[in-house]
Amino acid sequence: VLPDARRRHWVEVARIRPIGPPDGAAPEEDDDRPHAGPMDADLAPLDAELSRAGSRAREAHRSRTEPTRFFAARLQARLVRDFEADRARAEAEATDGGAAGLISSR
Amino acid sequence: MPSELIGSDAPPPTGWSAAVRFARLCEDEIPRIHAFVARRVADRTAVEELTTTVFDRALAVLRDGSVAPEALTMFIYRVATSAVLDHARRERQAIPRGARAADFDHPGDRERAQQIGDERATRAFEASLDRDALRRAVADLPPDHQRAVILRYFDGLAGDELAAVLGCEPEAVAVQVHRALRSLRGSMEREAAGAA
Repeated sequence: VLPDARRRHWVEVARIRPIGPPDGAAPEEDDDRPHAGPMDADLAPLDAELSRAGSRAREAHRSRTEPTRFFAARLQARLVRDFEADRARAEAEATDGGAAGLISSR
Repeated sequence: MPSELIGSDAPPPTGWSAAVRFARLCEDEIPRIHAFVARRVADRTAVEELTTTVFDRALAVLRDGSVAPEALTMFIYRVATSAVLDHARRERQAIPRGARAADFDHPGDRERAQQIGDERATRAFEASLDRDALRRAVADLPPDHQRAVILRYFDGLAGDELAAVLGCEPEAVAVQVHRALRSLRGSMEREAAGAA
């Protein structure tokens, strides 16, 4: 069982974020303008119905789509280890390069 | 790595080291990318391999600096989309390991490979729809509209991530979803009118 804070975190991550549809007053097929406003009122019920269905579908498939804790933890640990090793190597090269430059300029 | 910094609800403070930020990104995105792939690929081992490939690519671009850290999430979704597509291509025909699967495409192969993953996700989503009319309307949507609906509502993608998967500008995402919803509603209205 996940701790509460972590569960809230994943619920938040999985939450559908609102997006802005075009202005309903414009012709539907000719409107290519980006919008960030609220969903057209006439489409809102459909949007809500699809959102509910999506939540149900994600929940129904969670056991199959969720990574095992072992896989996720092992992959994350390996990636972070590689990331830190890359940075350490880059820093060492920068330091070595600086020292070499200092020696050659003398 | 300070363990208390991982798994919290708070946004990453600006003073966080790059390694902690990367760890946080991995923790957030590994489950989401795994789920995205698993909705389109049946075999669990393949899902894990593809997820690993996506994050190895992410690390590689961070290493060579070809993608800015703030654009990494979009990049990850783009790579995941390609990885699923390539997996479907390799299922359809024998392609040597290490070769670019897209290089073996004949006309129409890309669309058919994309259809494999899309169909899987669409079937799963349709099963959760209560109304038969809505289920039929989703099934009958043109492929690009159907894709937008599945990505938006089943995968729960929006904004930059949805744009990355759809291969469009973030500003065009809302327009695509809006058109898909109009198409869906139009299809249901036509069916209702035909039945009346």
